[in-house]
Amino acid sequence: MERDTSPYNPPIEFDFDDDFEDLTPTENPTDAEPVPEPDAPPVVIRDERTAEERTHDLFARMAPHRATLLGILSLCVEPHTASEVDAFVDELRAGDFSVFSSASLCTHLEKAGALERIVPEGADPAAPAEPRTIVVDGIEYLEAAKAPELSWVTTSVGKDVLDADNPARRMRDLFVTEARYLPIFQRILELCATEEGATVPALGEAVDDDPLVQEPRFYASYFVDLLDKCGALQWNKTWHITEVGREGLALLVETDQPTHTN
Amino acid sequence: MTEPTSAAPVAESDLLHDLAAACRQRAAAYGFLSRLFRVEVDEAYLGELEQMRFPASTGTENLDEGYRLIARYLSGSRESTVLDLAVDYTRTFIGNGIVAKGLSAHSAAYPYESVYTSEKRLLMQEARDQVLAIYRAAGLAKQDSWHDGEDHLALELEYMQVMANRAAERLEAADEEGAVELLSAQEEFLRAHLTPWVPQLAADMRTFAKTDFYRGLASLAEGYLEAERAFFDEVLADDEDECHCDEATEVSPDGAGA
Repeated sequence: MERDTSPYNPPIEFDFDDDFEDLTPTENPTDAEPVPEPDAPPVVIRDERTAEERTHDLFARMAPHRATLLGILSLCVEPHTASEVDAFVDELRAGDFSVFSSASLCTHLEKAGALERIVPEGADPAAPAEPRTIVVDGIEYLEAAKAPELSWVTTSVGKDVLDADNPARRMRDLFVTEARYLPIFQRILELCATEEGATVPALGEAVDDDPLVQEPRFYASYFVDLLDKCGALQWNKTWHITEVGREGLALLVETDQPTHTN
Repeated sequence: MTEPTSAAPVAESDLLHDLAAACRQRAAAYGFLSRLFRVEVDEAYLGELEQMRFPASTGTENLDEGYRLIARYLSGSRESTVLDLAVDYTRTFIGNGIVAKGLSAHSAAYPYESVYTSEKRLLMQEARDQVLAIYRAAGLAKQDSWHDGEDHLALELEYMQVMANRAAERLEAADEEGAVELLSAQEEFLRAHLTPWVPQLAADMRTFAKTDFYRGLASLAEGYLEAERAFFDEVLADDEDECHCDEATEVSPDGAGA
């Protein structure tokens, strides 16, 4: 194809759409809310959803973080301090970067109603903390008072989520709904069952050229994602099989599915 | 034969020393303010802030209010504070692109002098060119890692920090004339490039900020410029060759550093 070297002249290239002539200007060009007065009380927007609905929506919205959210709820069946939860989440997500900090996830769970904070005895959660006044060399200073460390505990709603979570059942359901791809699932699980796990390129090499995934076109990452959401795989610098995944692999081996169709 | 009067020279050196110490304190305060305007508070800096002591009574109402709000916010510090502050920093200084009714096309308190001093509230206007020339005259240039205009408040405050430290060095070397020159340059910069717009920025910050931290910063910035105005009025006489070196006020937080 030859390259067009003529100068580009936008006014010539475009025709104005006559339909725009029918548009009448709005009275208020912006529909933004007016600027609030600095000292006005904040407008409270009430969430009418139940805690169960909010928690369900949270897990749907944050599906990639399901395992971490469930881990926090599981840990906090017994109360744990915020720093203990931080350490737990850091270990759970070792080698897996997330923009959501442990504190952020706990706050999301709290807002959903699946987690609640325990205020230390004697502390009033409604009272704003006041700084301390100290005197040094005759001069008064304000020092930030150290806030008491709070603890988190799972609510009844959070416990219901834990009880309802059945990754093994989700995986069995996956094997039923995606029965056509059982050889692919088996191959991925076997590769991830080694001590070093499987890298993304290695999984791609093993799956992407298989005739099963040419029409419709799927790649290894699609199947890895499905297995991850079932709790069958876990990322720690490479993909590793979990206990749930081992159960699934045993199930697939039992059914004696062929692993190679090339 | 009269006895040698050694008390007068000693007193003068004490005055220079006191003023040098005051300039170091001023530099620390400018550095503190610059840091808070430059980027969000991260985990490490939050830890430093929680250890700081803020003056309870400086004699300047806005300063006292600013320190009180910030200290109170830090007292309620919890595990989500870093995230909360990051969100409020963005809300206050960057905005969300939604133009609020009643404000002439801005959705945040953009901390650029050009925005507040140009007719159409644009960036990179005459103010930026002027401060750039001032920085160059002082042998200063922005770092390559800084991608915003030179008239960002963080840089203007950092310029004042550098100049305050230079004035302190001159005073420590008993170079009163050199110190007066530097203090006069700072006074001129304060008058021409800070006090014309920072109060309006502070008002906008109080509109957009949701946390007491950034509302407190608004009062702090406004109050500190008021304190600086008073400092220069006291220290610099009408005759620019004279320096009233016996006036010094300390209004920076303890532990703010440079």
